[in-house]
Amino acid sequence: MLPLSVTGVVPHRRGRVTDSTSDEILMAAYQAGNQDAFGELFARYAGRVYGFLVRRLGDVAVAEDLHQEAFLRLHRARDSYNPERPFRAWLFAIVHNLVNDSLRSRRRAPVAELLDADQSAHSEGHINLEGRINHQSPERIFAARESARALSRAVSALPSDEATVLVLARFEGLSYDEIGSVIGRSATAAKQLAYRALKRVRSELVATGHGEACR
Amino acid sequence: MTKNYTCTDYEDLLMESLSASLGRTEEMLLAQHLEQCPECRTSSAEVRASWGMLPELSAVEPRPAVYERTRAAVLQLMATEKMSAVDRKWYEVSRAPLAVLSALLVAGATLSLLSGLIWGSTLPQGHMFFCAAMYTGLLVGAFSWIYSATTVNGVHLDVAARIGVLSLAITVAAITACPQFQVLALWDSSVLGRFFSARLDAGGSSLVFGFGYGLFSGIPCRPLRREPSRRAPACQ
Repeated sequence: MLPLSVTGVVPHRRGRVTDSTSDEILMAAYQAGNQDAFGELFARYAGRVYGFLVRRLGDVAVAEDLHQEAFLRLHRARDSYNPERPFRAWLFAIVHNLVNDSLRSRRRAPVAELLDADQSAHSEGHINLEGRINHQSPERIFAARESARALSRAVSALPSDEATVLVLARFEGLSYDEIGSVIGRSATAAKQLAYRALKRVRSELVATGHGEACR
Repeated sequence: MTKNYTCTDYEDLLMESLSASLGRTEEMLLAQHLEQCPECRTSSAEVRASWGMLPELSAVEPRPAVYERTRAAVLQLMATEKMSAVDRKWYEVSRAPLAVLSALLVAGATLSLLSGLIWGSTLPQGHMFFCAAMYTGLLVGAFSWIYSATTVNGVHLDVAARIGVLSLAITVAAITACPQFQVLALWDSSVLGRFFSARLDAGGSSLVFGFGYGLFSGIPCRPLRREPSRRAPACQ
């Protein structure tokens, strides 16, 4: 079994990987060439990275493309990882930069198609809204879909740092310290970005008729 | 000492409260402030409403093929790098004897040059020419070998290595031609020497011997100059 101390013992290339091994230890083992460590990290984070990409970009097809690139970047950057630093903050910093690069290269607003089941050939696995609303009337199902699409569009339209902060805080459970290190800012700045992002989302939803103004 | 909170501080507290990372005392402070500050109360309601809606984006699952494609790409890259690492390791090891050999050559050439100058001064003029060619070739060859063991900005100086081998061949030819060494006499009396002398005359036979002998000395060095292969990553 791999040592449970980050700084104590250098993990062996063939050290055993268990479910209880921390991300940081796994990453150190991965740095040393342990393929099982990569497998375990991938099992833990493949879905989370994919979820982050979809929520950030609102585009399933782009998210699928970037998913592979994210892990290839992780692999190429593995030697620069410092085991003293939380792994997931480091990982999401890579993915955040990848998203920025992608948006910059595309130079167009991301298209929100998250819930567009009719247009997407493989959307069944992407959203679980049906499970919550399938006993409701068609009108309510349609309204819920429209609301979720508007929400996805609003999040995708946010400035990059704000969108990342919001997704990481709401879905990934990162602390604001960690989120700050992902975007290269302080924890306080990250909180302010999240606050502004939530207000922007609200304004956008109200403006498009998917939310009521709060008094 | 009690901290004087501003509305911005309460916004930070609100965000921590939404993440369920706020202490009980600060939760009470936040609640008190929201009761007293209508602007923050309105903003708080907006922010909470957005926060509450966000889970509508959840439950995202990709096609299994997406995971498999990603995993396969990384594993392929790992395998490629592993093979390159083996090549690189052999290359690093192979450079050590090359450097030692180069150092010995330099030392030998320097000693030869010094003793040759003393010895050559007693020889007739014609012999001095061959000896000078031999020593010069040996020195050039030795230094070229040193350069061949050098890597500059990741590029192995393979051209220098070839020049080194060529210089050695010239040196060997000079040694062969120098009557003091009597090497040509041995060659001329051998089966191969007689064969080439019969067809190319004595001069051609000497050239074949010198060139062949020079190449022979370069052949064993070839593996030592091997560069690691540079493979492009399979996935970009």
